[in-house]
Amino acid sequence: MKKFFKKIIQLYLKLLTKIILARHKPFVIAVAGTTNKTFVKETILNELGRGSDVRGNPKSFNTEIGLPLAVLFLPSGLASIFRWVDILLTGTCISIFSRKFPKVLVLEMGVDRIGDMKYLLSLVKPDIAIVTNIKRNFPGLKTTLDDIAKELTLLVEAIPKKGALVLNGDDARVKTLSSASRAKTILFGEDKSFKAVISKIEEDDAGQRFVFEYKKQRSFLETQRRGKHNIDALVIAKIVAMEIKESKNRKRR
Amino acid sequence: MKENIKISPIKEMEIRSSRILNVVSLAQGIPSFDTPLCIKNKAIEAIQDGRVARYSLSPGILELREAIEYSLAKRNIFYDFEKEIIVTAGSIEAITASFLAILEPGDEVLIPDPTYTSYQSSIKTARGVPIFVPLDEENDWSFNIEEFKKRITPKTKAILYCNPNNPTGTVYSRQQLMQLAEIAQIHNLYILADEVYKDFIYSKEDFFSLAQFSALRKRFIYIFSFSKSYAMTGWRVAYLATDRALAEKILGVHDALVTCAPVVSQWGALAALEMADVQVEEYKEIFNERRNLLCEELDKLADWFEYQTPSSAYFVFPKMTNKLIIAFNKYESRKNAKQTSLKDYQKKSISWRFAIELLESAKVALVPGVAFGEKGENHLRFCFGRRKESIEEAMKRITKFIKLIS
Repeated sequence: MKKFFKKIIQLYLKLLTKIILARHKPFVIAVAGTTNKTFVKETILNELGRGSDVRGNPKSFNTEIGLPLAVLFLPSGLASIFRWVDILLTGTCISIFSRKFPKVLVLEMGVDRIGDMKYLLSLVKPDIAIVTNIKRNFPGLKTTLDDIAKELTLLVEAIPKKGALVLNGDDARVKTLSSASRAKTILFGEDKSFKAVISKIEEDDAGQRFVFEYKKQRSFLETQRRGKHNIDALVIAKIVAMEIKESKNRKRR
Repeated sequence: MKENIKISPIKEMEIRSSRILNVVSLAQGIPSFDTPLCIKNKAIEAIQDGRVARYSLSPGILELREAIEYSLAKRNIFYDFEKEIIVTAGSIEAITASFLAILEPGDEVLIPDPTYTSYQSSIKTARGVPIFVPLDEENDWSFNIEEFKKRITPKTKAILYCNPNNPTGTVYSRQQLMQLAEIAQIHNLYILADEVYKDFIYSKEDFFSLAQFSALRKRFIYIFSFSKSYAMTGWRVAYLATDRALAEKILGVHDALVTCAPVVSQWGALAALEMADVQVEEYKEIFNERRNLLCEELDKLADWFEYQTPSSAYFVFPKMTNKLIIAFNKYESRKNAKQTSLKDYQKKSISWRFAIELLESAKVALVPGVAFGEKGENHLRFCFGRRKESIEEAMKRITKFIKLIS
């Protein structure tokens, strides 16, 4: 019974998502990978400036139910059927009647099993995709890392020629995804052959500092946060902001 | 060494009370609620997906550690989830593993007096020596920094405190914590902070954690348990966060002790961080109501108990007045009965004798204050995490018991 209700909710949310996206046609940035999706999403939102024009998933809503909720900006009904009825009614109004909708959506896309990405791509068509990493989580999952890589290949293939793909070149599995891309691919990482290069990483009690080079620009960046993934998040956000700016300039011309 | 490590008096009181029919217990700090449904559902889903049958990585599942980093970052506490966060089997495992990693036999650890009973056992397990530092009862059980300084010797290795403090409910001020940090830096000490009750602070003041003070990070270990905030005491899941080099050392011990925290509980903990904020707020409101109820009931017994309204956690730690002590001593003489169930050290303590008599005569379980340190003698710990009905019934029985002895 529970599964039946879940399926109904899922299908209805899919319909509402497709309607609202068809009506407003936002620029969609998809953030995928095993980890670091939330930090990347948050950093992009900070870089682009949160507000009515730019929005991301609340919390980490990124699954077959979570993603539509993120697009519609609705909470989860969790285990309450009454709350779900209320949410679906609100979602229907938003989807059909809303006049205001963000111009840019930054969406986490979570993939646990084979088939997840195909479903998520049936909901949204991203203009830019970011793949953070493909990591070993823990033994026991039915899905292997190669399965996850195959799922992420679907995302890479779905990015249109005019779009962009931002890949973590330091992750060997992610790097190989670039071969499936039709769109412009930006590899970032510590290898000097990449388009976006991270170097001179320093760390002390106050945080991390590093040099970032992209499109002939060299900048010194710093963050209080720890770990390479937070450096990646900053770099991705800078790349995405520049890509959006360029895309806007192209449209103006 | 084995002789020195006793079962915690809190658990002893629970064991004793479990043998008594129709007992009301305000002893162990257990929230009365069931674990939120969203947490249980996530755990069930993980079981059904086949994600819990095997070990996780020793420091914990990536998703949970990432969510922990994210939740800490919201409070300006920055740790790398891949290398600096370890999910543990409860906070006591985090504390014990940390001590096993940093202490040499005979090293001394300063702990406030009174504070959580199991800290002593944890230090002793690592062959360390707990050194009590009296808190300032007159000043809402705050730190007395001079007392800390007095007790530092060449063997002092660490300071461990619980903030908010159990059993006093004190929230240590930013100024006092910074003074403690200064001591740690001067004397090259580690600081372990257990913030298990941080979500139940009833005043509106900002809660400061030394984890926010980045200059301390190499000597600081942050500990948080999901047990109290999310009603998950039985799930045995907590975490610690510390600088990379120290985390590596502790990880080795954690691996040797438990391999990894229970994987099903880790998925539950993930759901807690992602979905259970609302429930934590609900619990806090209910605890606040229960705190007011318990304090009102204690006010009716003002001749017998003096207390300070706790600003956090879910304990009241009243002092037995002289009148109560005299009345109880007379009652014991009148009764002329030897409490054979008491061990020698318990017989010497009025709070132990009172707590046991209260349990056996009135069927109410409380924790004797001396269990938390010598400064806790003459006090009793009441837990208001329990159901409202239990608090009411316990207070009725205590009132009746006091009438009986006076």
